[in-house]
Amino acid sequence: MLTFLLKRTLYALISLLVITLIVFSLSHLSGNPLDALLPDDATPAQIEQVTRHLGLDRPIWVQYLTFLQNAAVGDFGDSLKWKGQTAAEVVWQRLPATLQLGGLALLISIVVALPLGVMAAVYKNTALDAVATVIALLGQSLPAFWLGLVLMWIFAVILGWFPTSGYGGLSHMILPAIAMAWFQVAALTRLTRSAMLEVLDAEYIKLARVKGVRERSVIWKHAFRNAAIVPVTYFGVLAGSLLTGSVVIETVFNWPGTGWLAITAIQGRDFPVVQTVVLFFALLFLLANLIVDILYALIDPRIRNT
Amino acid sequence: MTQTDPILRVENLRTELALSSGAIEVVRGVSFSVNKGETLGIVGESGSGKSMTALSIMRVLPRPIGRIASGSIHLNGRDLVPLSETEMTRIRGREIGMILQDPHTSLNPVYTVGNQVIEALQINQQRGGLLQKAIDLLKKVNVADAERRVHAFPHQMSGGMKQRVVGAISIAGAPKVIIADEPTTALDVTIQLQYLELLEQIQQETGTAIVFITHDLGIVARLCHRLVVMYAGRIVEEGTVDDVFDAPSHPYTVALLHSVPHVDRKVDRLYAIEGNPPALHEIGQGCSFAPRCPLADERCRTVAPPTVAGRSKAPDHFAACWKSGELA
Repeated sequence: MLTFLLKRTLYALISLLVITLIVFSLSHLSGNPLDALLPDDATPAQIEQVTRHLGLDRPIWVQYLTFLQNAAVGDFGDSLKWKGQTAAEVVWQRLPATLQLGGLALLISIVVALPLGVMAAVYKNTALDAVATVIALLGQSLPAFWLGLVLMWIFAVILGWFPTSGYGGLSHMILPAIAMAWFQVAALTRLTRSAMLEVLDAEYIKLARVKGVRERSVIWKHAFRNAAIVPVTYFGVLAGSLLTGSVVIETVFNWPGTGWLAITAIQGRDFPVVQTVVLFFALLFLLANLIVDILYALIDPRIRNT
Repeated sequence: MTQTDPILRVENLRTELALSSGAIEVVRGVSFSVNKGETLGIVGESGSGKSMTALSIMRVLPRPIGRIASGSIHLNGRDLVPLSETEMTRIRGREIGMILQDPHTSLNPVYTVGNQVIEALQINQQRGGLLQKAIDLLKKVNVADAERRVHAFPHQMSGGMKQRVVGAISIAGAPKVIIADEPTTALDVTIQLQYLELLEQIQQETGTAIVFITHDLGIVARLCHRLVVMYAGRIVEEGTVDDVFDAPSHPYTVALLHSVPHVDRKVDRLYAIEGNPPALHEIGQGCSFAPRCPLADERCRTVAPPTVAGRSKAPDHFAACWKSGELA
């Protein structure tokens, strides 16, 4: 178990290193930051001074190593757009909003999709299965921004149950979280349903039944734990995409999170902030996938012992 | 049918599978009984309905397409067919146990062997010292080093060992009947004999009746007291092992016995019955075996055969055949 975890962690670190390389190269492909920093009529002397100050005149690999060294201690330099703040500070301030909203959306997805998928498989071809299929179909075909607007219109404007938009407590988070979660609910429900259908046909389910195990226990103890591998795999993607914030939903609901920040920073060619955000997103994805690996090992002894 | 005390009595059982092409009858009026402490063999080719008969008795037919259409299944005098799902859950494991065909897939891969044996014990109201009871049970089915193996996962065990564990699970509730559905088919030949001996040992110790489903007549001769031969969802012959082997009274049984290879006889070509069993949706009025039967005539093809006394003339030997008398 310990070797398994160490190995997985090592893989994650290697991935992280590769990502830093990509992030570093990509941001240098997106245009010269001097264009955004300096006025159009800057003199060559000014340009040279700023270039030297930012270290842009040094060989590219030196720039990368410096970047790596600083990144290791959380120093991504000063933000170019938000003057007087470091890039890390800028991202740090936006983080709680995104984690709150993403966390709630994640919770909704799991709490709704897993039981729905399991029940849809157990009651295959019944009304309940049909309802689950419709929910999944809607979730995958309705664009999130449209769903967000409709939810806002019905529940905030007409019914007045929730505030329309802005940053705040739970009541502010419910509508955007539902809008974000719905697509994920759809994907997760379908995955869970098909995984459960396969497992319910297994011989060990038949054996559980013939040995007199109650149906509820057959489903949750014997079938679900085996089927869970599939939705758990998707959890890596799910957690990654929800926790890094949705650009669309944050914009629709005027939610001051990192998704919104990423777009603004890219538009302003704010290299340090873009790099921080992307690296932070990558870190969240890697973390989520590391958790997935650990969950695998907890669920299935055959994985643990290899 | 002169036996006074059958523990399991199946009468005129009919089971249907609702396929997209329509309902087909996979068990078509099967009747047999098993006495206390007896081993009954059910023999037949793949698709003869022998496993479906077993699944009907356990009420674990494929969901949601399988259902018992009619008939009765009396266990210890009580008819199981009208029972609800919940009531059947209480019957399974406690009054009838079952051993499935493939030990490699019939244990849950994510739980330890001990966990799965203990679960069976808990279902049967056992409390306290469950780990020790599970170890004792594993010892009873000759699992060596049971103290250590109880903590092992199925993938860490051999097929023969896993099938012993399945056996341990099936006897955890001391059921009166155990249905074994080809329990040795997936095992190495050398392990098969050990497993059959284990089943005999269990039967001697607990007095449980065993319904042994197989296509291997050698096993039937070795293990069973009586047998029924199934073909296309029906019983075509029934009797004691001695009577049926000595005086087979249905052409299908004759052909089956003829197909068994003998180690001591060298032949160029093994005997095989011509043709295939009929697809169940194209069975007509007459005898199902008629298209493959060397003795079949027009009556066989059009009129369902009567049940007649077997050639041994024993009171419990029957065959469903028009031509039984012509066999020699």
